[in-house]
Amino acid sequence: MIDGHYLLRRIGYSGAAFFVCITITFFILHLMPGDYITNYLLSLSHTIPQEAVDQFYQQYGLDRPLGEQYIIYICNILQGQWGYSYQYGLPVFPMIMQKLSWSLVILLPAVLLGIIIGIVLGAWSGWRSGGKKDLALFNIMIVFRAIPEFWWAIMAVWVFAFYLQWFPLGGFTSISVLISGLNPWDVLYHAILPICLMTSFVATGNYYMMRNSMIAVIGEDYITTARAKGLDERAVLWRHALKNALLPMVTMTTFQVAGIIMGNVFIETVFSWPGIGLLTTDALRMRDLPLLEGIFLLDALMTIGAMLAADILASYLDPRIRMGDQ
Amino acid sequence: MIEVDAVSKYYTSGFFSRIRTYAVEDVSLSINRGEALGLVGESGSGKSTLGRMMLRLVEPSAGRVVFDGIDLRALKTPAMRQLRPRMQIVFQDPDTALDPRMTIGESVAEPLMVWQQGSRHERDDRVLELFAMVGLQPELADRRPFELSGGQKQRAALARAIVLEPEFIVLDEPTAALDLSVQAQILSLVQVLRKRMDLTLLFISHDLQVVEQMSGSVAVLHKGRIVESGRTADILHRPSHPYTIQLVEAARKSEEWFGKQRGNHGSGDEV
Amino acid sequence: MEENSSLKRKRIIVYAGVCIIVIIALCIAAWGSGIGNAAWGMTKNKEISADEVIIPVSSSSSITYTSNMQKGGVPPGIYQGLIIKDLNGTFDPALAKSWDISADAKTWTFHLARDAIWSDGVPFTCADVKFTNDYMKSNNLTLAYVLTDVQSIDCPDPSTAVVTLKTSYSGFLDQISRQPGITISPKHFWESIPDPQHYEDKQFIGTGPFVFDQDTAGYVRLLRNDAYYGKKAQISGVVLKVITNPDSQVLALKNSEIDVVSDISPAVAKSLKGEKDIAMYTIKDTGAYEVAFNLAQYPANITGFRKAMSHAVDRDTISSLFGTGRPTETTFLIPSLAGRYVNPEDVGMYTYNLSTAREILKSAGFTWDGKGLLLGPDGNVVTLTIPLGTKGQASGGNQKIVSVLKNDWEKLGITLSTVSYDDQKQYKKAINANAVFLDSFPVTLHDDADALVNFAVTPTQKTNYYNYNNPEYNALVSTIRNTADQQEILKMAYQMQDLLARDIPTVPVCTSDTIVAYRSDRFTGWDLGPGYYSVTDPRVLTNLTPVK
Repeated sequence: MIDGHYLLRRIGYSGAAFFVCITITFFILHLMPGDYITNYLLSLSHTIPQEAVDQFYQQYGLDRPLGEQYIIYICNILQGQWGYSYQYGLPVFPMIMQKLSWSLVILLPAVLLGIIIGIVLGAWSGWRSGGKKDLALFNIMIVFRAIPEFWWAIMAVWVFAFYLQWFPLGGFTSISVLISGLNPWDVLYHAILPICLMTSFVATGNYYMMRNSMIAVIGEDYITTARAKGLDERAVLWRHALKNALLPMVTMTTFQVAGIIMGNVFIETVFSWPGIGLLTTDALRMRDLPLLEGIFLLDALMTIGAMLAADILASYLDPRIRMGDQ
Repeated sequence: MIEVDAVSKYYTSGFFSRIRTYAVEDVSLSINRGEALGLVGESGSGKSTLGRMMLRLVEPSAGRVVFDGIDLRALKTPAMRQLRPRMQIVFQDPDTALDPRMTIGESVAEPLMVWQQGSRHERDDRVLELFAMVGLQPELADRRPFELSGGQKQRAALARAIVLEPEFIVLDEPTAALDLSVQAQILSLVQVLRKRMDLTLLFISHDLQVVEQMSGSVAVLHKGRIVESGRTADILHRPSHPYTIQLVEAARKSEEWFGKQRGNHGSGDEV
Repeated sequence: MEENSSLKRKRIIVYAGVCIIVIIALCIAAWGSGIGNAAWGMTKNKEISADEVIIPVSSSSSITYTSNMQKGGVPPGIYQGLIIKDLNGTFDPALAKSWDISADAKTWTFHLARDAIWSDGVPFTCADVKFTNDYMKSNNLTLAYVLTDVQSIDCPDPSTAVVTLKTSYSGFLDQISRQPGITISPKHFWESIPDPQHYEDKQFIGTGPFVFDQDTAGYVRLLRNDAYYGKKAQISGVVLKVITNPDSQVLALKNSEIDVVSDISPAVAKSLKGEKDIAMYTIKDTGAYEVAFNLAQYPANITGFRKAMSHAVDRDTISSLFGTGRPTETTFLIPSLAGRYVNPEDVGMYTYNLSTAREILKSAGFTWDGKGLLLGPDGNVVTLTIPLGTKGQASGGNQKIVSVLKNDWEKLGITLSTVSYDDQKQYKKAINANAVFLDSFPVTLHDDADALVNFAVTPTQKTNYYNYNNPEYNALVSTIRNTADQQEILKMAYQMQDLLARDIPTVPVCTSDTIVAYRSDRFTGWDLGPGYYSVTDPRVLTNLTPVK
């Protein structure tokens, strides 16, 4: 139930939020201690030749006042110029898109599967809350969640890739790519283990949310009412409990999908997967400002877009939420 | 009609030494067909649990519940389900009693659908008929619960409860969450329905006056046990148990004030 | 009571929207990763030839560097400089076969390889050398700073390059061959490219023993350059495989997916011992650690204090904590690498002896209070804070040194604390504000007389880390710069080491080693001795021979 005017205003707010976002990002990045050229020169030798530093500052306009740099940056962004990475000398946008695409190969199936599995398990567990099976599942999930993702990833590599040799140790293609070119089946084979891991990480998070939501819903009187009406348990679950418990999940899952853009550093490190997570940490370590700005810009776009989408979606699905009702 | 024999409900806690916490302990009572029993007690006294156990919406830990000669606890789930249309419940909080995602009409019609009574058209007619009975405008059928006032919702909940023409209804403080003026209307609606449909009622409340109005006999529940029961007038005028005395006195004190309030709010219809 | 068709319509819209988003994401994934263009057939995987060596690299960024115009990080063995630094402080010829130096060390004449050709077939000439210098400077490429001293490069004939420096500089060869060094770029390729900073080179045209084949999906493949003018490789190619996680590198070695893993920890080396077909070797002295003083800060400004502390560093214990490497016995230069440049008279002067340290402190005016705390000549308790930077942090080196120092210096009545810094600039500031700091660096910086310039104050180096400013030392540094004669240079290097031994701006602690594990069933010839600290060094790669 969306009012057209309200929607317009909402989009306006989103634009403003985006602007604030990139402004904050710009200043935080530029006020961050350390700079690219010093790091780079120190990685080459022990001394830092001042003339090289000065020349670099001048080339990239870093010697100008911060306010001026900011205005130039905003003007460039508005013209669609995202700049060039310090490290790679390449235009930022295609670079990000390329890495993002590889991240998506893992994260898209993983997040979708993870959300579905998490919700199904969470709903089942919440529905049976207090039962032995629920407690068993709940405790398994706690243990799974309590141990860091990195450890699971390493263990998975050890067990499935090293000892059992069911999967490759890492990377995203076999070495035969050098002779016969990229084979999608081969990529899939390399992606299965990281996808499975990532799916289970996403699933545990959704499991908790869904279980809680479900427990809250089945405590409501309308569930008892439904039973009193004579609905069998399956009908109570599907017609009343599940639909109501799913509503709070809509917003959360939308954000998770938007979060894909940040990639997953752990998975990417352990599996040598050339995704956006590694690109980001690397850019952060090297203080590659244009690249970082590009990544955060895209992130802000996705998050704000997701917020908008979540709002619209929620108002479609939940009659109680009326956008534009002031 | 319905008889409760030594039922208890307890929850266990603790891992090594199981500690039992009783919500309802060793309660026996019975209601004859067409009669109404008031169940009085403060919050936490176990009256809601007892009410739900009588419908087996909460599984008793011990004891027997006999409905029309049938031992409910001996029934398997499908058989119990078959009995459901004959017994219903109305809750205290009308906000949560109706599925927020369904329209009022759908909520009221759902039992008909479940029990496959009539065609879709007939079901719609029946819903409108019930709406008229409980005093709801027909156009409210397409609204959702959050678009209705508290009183309207409670009327809808009543309509939902009587749609399958039950014999026994548990009214779990049906007016506690409503304004005083609306309370009176709902109570009188219940009276009307009871007479028209020859209902057997369990009326749960913490308000002695309401109980006096609604039922000929009353049971007083205190900490999960029935401490006193009998004719309403007897108990209200000659309470014997200390807890009942306390209850009656508390009610007296506020009587004047309540009286005034009720007088002031004569008959404003809320829509 | 109409059936809620609007709700159904909404539901369809939502489902459709979700599907569209998923499809868009899939398209991005397929397009960007190149899977979309790939053939989906179940073609049988062909393997690369068995005599291509597979080497892991830890980061994909190191092989996707774009501009080969001296941005660094390009695949090994493709580009060459004029010379390559040798182990013994001398230089191996590369594109320059030999060289002459004028008496004032100002004019350098390089005689170039006549049969060198670029991988696209164009002959290499002096024009490329001249072009590299001019082009880097005119395009303000960052690494042009390495050539700051170069006035001009002239080509009297295609195989002779005459480099004229702005001022005399005897260490010029060192300058252009040591990290980052300067490699020669092909004129015919780059002269038509106006903006090398933002140009993505995909051809990698070089003169080295290997030529670029492809960079695909986490692999970079180099093939043997059969037209190479020098010693040709015996392996047919090199494949660099990105494996970001060091643990996975070791597993891949065990699975025989790769042929070598460099820089493994002593613990991993222990676990690999006895593995079938895996051999290991140690490259000695690839890293070095020192306890350095800031001579501008009290109490390190007191020579007696520095001298005393040089006897209070338990180098044997520290070095044993490292698991590899050994204590260094000299001032600054590492004997295994600097060889004849090490002054034998200054070897073995930092004996660990706390009572000697105590004696020297006493004679320098330090006293102890009732609780045994050290009081400075000013009568105040001496407390020290050591700033720790990111260097030496990863290997845990700093912590190992600090733990030993803390224990010993406490016995002398000194309370020691540490502060860690993540940022280089802040760390530098902290070094300047404290009396003692730790440093670590690759030993390539400790291998010849030119390395001693680190302690000097010169017109181009206004300060040094140590705030050490000895006119006598500075004079030696500027003289050595202008001297071409090797004997003279050696003599002055000895004098400089004597000065350092007297003034003690730093106490060398120990060196560390690099352990390399390799598949002995695949290739031999990895171990070329100290100095070849990288398994991707072209000299190592050309030395490899397949086992079968």
